[in-house]
Amino acid sequence: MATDGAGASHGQSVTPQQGPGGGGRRRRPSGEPPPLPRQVGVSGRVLITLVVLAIGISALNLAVRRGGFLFDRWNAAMIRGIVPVRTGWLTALTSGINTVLSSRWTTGVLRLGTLVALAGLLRWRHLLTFLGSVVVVELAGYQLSLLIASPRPFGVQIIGPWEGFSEPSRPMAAVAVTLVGMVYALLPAGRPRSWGKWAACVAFLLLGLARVYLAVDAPTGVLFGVTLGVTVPVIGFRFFTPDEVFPVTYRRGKAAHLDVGGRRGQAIRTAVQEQLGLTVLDVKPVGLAGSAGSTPLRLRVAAAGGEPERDVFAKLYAQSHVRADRSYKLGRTILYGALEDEAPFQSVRRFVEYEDYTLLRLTHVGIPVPAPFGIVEITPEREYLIVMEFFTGAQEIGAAPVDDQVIDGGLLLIRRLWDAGLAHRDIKPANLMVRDGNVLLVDAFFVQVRPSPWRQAVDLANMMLCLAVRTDARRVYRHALGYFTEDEIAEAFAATRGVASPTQLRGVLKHDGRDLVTEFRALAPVRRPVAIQRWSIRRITLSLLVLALAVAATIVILRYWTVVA
Amino acid sequence: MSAARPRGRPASTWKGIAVALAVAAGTMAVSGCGASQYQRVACDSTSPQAIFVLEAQAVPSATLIPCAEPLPRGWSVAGFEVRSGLAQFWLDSDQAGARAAEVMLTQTCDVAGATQLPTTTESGAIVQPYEVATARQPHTTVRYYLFTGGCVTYRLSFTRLTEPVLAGQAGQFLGFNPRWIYVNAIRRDQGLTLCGAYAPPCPG
Repeated sequence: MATDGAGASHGQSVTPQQGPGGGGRRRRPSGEPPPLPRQVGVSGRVLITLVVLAIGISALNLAVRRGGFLFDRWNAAMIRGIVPVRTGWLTALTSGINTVLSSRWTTGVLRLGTLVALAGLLRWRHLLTFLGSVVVVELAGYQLSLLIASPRPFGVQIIGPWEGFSEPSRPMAAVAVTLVGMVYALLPAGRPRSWGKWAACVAFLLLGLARVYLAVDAPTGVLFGVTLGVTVPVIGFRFFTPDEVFPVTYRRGKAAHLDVGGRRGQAIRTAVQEQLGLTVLDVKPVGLAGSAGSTPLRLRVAAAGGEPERDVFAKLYAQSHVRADRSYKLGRTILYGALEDEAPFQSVRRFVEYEDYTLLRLTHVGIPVPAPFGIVEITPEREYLIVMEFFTGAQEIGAAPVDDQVIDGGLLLIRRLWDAGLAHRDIKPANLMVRDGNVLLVDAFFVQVRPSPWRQAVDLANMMLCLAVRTDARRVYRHALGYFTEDEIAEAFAATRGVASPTQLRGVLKHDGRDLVTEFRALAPVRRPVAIQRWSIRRITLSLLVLALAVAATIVILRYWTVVA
Repeated sequence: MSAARPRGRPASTWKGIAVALAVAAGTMAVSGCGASQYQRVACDSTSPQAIFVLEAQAVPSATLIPCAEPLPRGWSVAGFEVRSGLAQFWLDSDQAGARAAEVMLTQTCDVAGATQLPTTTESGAIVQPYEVATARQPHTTVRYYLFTGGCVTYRLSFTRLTEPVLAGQAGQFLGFNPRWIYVNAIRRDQGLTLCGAYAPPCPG
């Protein structure tokens, strides 16, 4: 079959390629659980218990304080049971533990150290989540203590220092939020984080026992404080920095995506078999370093239906990716306005449906992209897999030889996108593959139908830059004139600067050293730069809202500085 | 046959509404249901959020607990702090500014150099007031009220000479409640002991 430089076949109607095989497909009957049923899991159960505990203790405290003072009597009885074991050395030991662990200096140093470390590691999202958790816990602890207004334990001598009302125990909450925040912000998921959690538990236990022994806190106050101090950061980190999207890692790249071993790995095998008829032999994460929007996988599938054993490519999407996409788009809208002004996706299902559609659309107009084999449901509304062709034997354009055929292929690809009224919006070396001299395009997730002319122009400029990095500007420009007018090329480079190019392409250009953008501008007719910053009502509203939130948060923090600090 | 259309709002909208309601409820619960600062320290307060029991625990030896009598116009209770060994609250004045008056209960006070004033009786207990000479504190008024097991320091950010009307008002609203009220109430309501003055000895 003849193909042009852009890898598309000539003279055929393009239909989506079907997956190999077809046997083994099975419709899931009504009532049968999905491949990976939604399970709360151990951490989920712990979290739910914590939330129920926090709400329950708050409600009981409020109700009981106006009623029978049940808590006070129970606490007094518990502490009276501890008093007989008070001895000199034990009192000295517990006082020491209380002084060291609940000191504002200790928590202050730990918090400051964590913030400095996170800033140094450029983990701004984790930093904000840590800071937010601390502020929320301190303020909630303070306000709840005023609301509940529970005195210190009755009936025994209090032999340690204390401050304010006792429920929830604010020192316990402060230590809990600090240690749990550190565990989630600094320790990678898995064994290190598990050890960190156990270490934090030991600290809570020691401090809690010490404070009850000294009778400065009641057992319910300790429990309430720990519950508050653990629940807020756990929810915060799970929601704002899910490991699948924002992993804590000290290796290069983003190593921790959705775990594809264990139950999920088995569910992927079963689901792909039943829904696409492909027998999966092996599941391997690939290209994680360049992907934060999904978990990319290479599936080894068994020979079937005349096809040999081979690899297929798959992207696993989960709800955390939807949340990340939402905040990413909000940030881009505020920073760049109309540059990225678009509505976020509302569900994982929409994610995969959209990518499947863009792949089919691109294939339909002759753009060489991986043929989509289908969407696989792992957990309804929560996890989906989109399976597509794996470009076996293809090389990334940054590593492949770039000759005239490749240059023409790349430029033709953009021409076809323009003619079809599409924009890829993520033209960069990592998304351009070369096989047998043909340029292939991957990652259609950002494709936009009927984009702005500016967006299309940027695609052209980015493609020319990708090609020129491996050759030179004059040669690429000469080839480009075969597909675009001088004015169109001038428009492309008038529209492209800074953030208009993907981060990876900007990095490659920087590493190359040549000022290719300027060289292209010198070759093309003079044209005034196209403004990148676009203002819209939506951008102004969102910016004002975020600004108002930031100001409100700052006012609250300053007003309660003595509480927070 | 027409295709079935999903009815009602999308799940995300409901989620947003639920979050907004939860935040609103939480804010109301935290800010709206609390007692006012005055109710927390008013001498005749019956609020369960009053600070007197906590004050009694902060200075267990004190036989009197300071409180605020009804305030004249322009005065408001602005805040309080209670910790082991110390309990204090402070008042703002629309004329004299923030923390125009501070009331602080401790176990003892250093009254050296202060002038002894005539003894008074508060809730049946003898109170010995002292006042620091204006020459030593030209812009503030500092009085001490010594009684069995405790001392209240009353600090005003003005003097009788600079603000005679305010000084007259400030002389009205410092009150005392006897500690035994709270000891008896805790024993009666909960069957527990508020350790310290007027209570039987506590273990530990």
